[in-house]
Amino acid sequence: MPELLSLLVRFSAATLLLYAGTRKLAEPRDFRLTLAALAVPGKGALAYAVPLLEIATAMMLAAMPWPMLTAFMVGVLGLSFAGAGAIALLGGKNIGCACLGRSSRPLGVRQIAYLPLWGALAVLVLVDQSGLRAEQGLWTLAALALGLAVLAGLRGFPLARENRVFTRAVVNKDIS
Amino acid sequence: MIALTIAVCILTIVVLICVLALVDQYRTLEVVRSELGLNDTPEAIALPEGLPTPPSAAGLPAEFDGHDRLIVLILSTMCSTCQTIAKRLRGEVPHGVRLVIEARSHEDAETWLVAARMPADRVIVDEEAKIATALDITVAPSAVVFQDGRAVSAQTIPSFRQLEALLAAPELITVPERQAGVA
Repeated sequence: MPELLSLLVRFSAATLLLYAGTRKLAEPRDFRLTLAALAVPGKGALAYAVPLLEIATAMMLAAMPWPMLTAFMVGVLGLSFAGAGAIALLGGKNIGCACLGRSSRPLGVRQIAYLPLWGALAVLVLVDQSGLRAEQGLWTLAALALGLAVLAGLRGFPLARENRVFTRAVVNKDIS
Repeated sequence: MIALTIAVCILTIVVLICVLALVDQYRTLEVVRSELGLNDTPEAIALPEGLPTPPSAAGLPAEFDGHDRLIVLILSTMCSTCQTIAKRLRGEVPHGVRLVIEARSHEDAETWLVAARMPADRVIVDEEAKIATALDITVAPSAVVFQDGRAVSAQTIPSFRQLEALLAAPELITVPERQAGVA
């Protein structure tokens, strides 16, 4: 596999996991509801453990210090996502995914269908360890995180402005 | 050096989480406002076909007929938002606007105008909502935009800031017109 393509796949997966993990930590309510609907034990701890594992896996994919451990973490995440999909399907429940924070899409076949992709990523991590040094990988991930923060900020700016104008209108008694 | 890199990476991730949490807070505030009915988004009012043309045919003063563009702001003595808007006008009717007050009687309107600190000679009293009925407006506060003597659009004015937004529309700024008191 060409080195550039391998890097692209790894960093795309790292960005996806980073975004998923940070959204779950920033907006924990929906993910907690998903865990409650799945009736998994220790949902209070899992509400933090899963997103932290996603972020840690993203960092491992970027730095690649221990390929075996990275592949294992990718595999665990893939299996847990597919397991959640299977529980929802077998239970015949319509459970919101909350995969990327707020989401109305239900858990189910999609998560099971993605399992081979997670498997392929784990294999790629094991067989192709070329590319950036650990430090370079982490700087790249930091830059990606900053880019995501800027995008989120741009998206939130109109909301912030609207809320500021509204609050000022209430204070000035423009709205009764 | 690697420890510093990891620290910077973690810090940027924390920044990302904080920004996402902030955006989520703003979204939640919007939902709360919507649930509590605190949204002041103006709504368009559909104007039916066959409205009286020109404005004087609906009971408005004949001097309205000659304007290129004019906003008729309809307030009612029965609504508290109307009172808030009238008070915020601070006794001045904005350029390009005519004020119509729906009231049961002239006495009712006068009492309301004193409370709103609005001089009576700046408004048209619409007794028993005859003008509003002729324009097919059933909501107050609302505004009807007249262009070349024809009602072209209407909307609710749920707050003073929405009236300001309507007045700030560029096409309204360019209207060459002199504010005149209407008895």
